[in-house]
Amino acid sequence: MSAQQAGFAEFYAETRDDCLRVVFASTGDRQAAEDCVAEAFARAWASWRKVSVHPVPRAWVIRTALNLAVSAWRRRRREVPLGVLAQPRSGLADSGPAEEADPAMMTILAGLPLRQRQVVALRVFLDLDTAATAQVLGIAPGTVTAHLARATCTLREQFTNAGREEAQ
Amino acid sequence: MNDDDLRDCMRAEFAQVKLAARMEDVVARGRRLRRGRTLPALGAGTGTVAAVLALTFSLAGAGGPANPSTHAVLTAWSVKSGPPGTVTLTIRDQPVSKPDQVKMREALRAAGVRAVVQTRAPRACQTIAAPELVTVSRHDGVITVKFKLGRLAQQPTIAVILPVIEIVRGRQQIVRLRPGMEQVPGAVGKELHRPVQQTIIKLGLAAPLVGLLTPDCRAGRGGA
Repeated sequence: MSAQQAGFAEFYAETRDDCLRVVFASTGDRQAAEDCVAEAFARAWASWRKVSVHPVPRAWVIRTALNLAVSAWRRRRREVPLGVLAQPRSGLADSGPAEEADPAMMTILAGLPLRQRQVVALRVFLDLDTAATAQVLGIAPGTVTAHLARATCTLREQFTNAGREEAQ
Repeated sequence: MNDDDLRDCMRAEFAQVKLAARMEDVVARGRRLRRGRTLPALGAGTGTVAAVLALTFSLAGAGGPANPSTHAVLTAWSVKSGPPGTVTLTIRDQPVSKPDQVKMREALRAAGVRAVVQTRAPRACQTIAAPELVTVSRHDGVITVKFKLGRLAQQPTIAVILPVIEIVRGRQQIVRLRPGMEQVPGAVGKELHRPVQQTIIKLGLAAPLVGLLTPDCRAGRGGA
């Protein structure tokens, strides 16, 4: 294994799960998120000379994965599923419910606007600061702060309510 | 609940979410993307692509004279003249695009193997036979086909049928062989990568079939 590939392998091992969590939390679709993140990492490796010197390589991967998710959504909205393709792939059984996030959590996240979800996911899972988050999402730092404040407020409220319901 | 609690709660909920894609698959996909930048990817459209690559090689005796110094190397495949009377075709990647097929045919002809490269399902008359004439090996995803021209000269025509690839678009992912190829021995399904909404499941360069063409088959009547 070359030094370049070793560097990428280390980067991949360190960041792949967090990147998936960010995209999954943003899109709400586990399979699509996995596809996007895997493809984003592949593109990162294809352009590793450039990505490796990026200030925040994982942010590059996230940005690419989110762009792919948008592109996929644009394509998918015009697609009509064929019956013959509707059979579930046997391999999907490997990623069973045990690997999914809590449905209640996903419901709460789904209640947030997309930008707020993305900001929260980037802050929680990647620990990106405001400037980096703004750069990844292509929005102003002030907008990130506003989104984060609103999302945090909503989530706190939702979690508190959920806790109360469980207690009752 | 403060910010830290909120963060811990979310992290805990997503702790089981892990990327299943293997590093080797991602790297292989990345390499493929790199190649796509450097080599013209003609014919590599998106959508459903099914390719049966059938390489039909005719005899050196029937074609032009063999040129032992022929040596054509491309990224995806190469044709090399080895010891006298042998020609080695190495295929490192698939599918071989249409322009590549033309180049491959020309390279093989230059090496003394008059070849017809085509993408179509194999005929029933293309039976598996004569492993002593053609050696097919697979190692680390690379197929090597060695032709012994001297021995081949005693046979009419030989066909090498490479594994089938099918790319299925859509959310569900399946591996499907083209009709007539379901019973390909040695075909190994291997999922290399799944880009967005486009399943690319490739039969990871399984050993190709090698068969002799019957006269009926060569005449286009498709014998049994």
